[in-house]
Amino acid sequence: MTVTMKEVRAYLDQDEPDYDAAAKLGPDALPHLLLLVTEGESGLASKATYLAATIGGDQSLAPIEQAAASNDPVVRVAAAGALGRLQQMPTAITQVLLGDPDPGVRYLSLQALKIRYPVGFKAKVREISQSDPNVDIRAIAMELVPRLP
Amino acid sequence: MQFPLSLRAFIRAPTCPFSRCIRIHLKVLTSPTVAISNMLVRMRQVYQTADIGVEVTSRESLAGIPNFVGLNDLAVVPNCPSGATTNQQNQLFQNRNNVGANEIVVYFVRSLVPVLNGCASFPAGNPGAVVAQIASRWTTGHEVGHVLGLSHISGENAPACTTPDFARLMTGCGTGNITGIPTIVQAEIDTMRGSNLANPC
Repeated sequence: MTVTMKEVRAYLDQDEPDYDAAAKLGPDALPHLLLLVTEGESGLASKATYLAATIGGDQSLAPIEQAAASNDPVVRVAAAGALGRLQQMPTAITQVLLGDPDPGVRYLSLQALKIRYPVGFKAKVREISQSDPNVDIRAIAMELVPRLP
Repeated sequence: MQFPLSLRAFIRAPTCPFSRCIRIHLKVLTSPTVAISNMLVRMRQVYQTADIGVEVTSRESLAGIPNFVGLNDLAVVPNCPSGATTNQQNQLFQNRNNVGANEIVVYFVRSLVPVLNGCASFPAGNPGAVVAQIASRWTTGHEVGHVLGLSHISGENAPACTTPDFARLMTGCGTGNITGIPTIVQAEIDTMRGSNLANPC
């Protein structure tokens, strides 16, 4: 099925997008989502990031990776929020987001780890629990460390 | 009195020119890209067609509240079903300084997870909505419309939105695409005016 940008926008322009319904557009929507993350304004880029994660699969990682590298903290926050939608946590992207200068991005990245407790993040989370400048983030990390493999 | 009011009619009105008013409190964690004052002007343009005034009763910065980081990028229940809220929403909606009974709080946050422009689900007894930084100029009016009992309009083939109606405030297809001043129909006006949050002025 060919998906058009117009169809993608019809979902993402909504004030309250239904991401599960939009995910039925399938992987053919992902090139459009990558374009929106790269070139769209804050709102569209962040919604496109979240939809990419909801569609899932290996191809969905490109928009999320792009979002994680955005200069716009709202888009990086969307990438961190999207991590929790993925069946498998992408190690490199997650490590980048856990070290983000924005505390909201770090907070949501830690929250995403609480969903599946994936392997490979214990050392980073321990470091956050000891040295993050934000007390709330240190508290979440501290709670998370013993539960991570 | 004929609505919508001209500026001259508004100025000459001896008292509040509306028969009903909603009282809203603004609590700001992050200011939206579209100025709040702009959103309020747009909201009033629409609400006055229902003979409802919009009174801003207070404005407060919530920059220093506990768990600011966790509430500024607020987790909400997907699709914002009425009455369904997350722990973070419950925590945010506890901030009700100066808020009286039957008054509405609009919280301005940086973002919502899932990514939404706004969300109008609220804990029982604490009516309000959250509006994200990415919101359109009509989002506050739209979300408060939900708080007053309005649903998205039918006939747009949502969620695919193949037949959107961007002339209506309660479009489910994106208030960012509205051009001109959107309308509310009589049934919506009746619902808004019948809400216990629309008080005599």
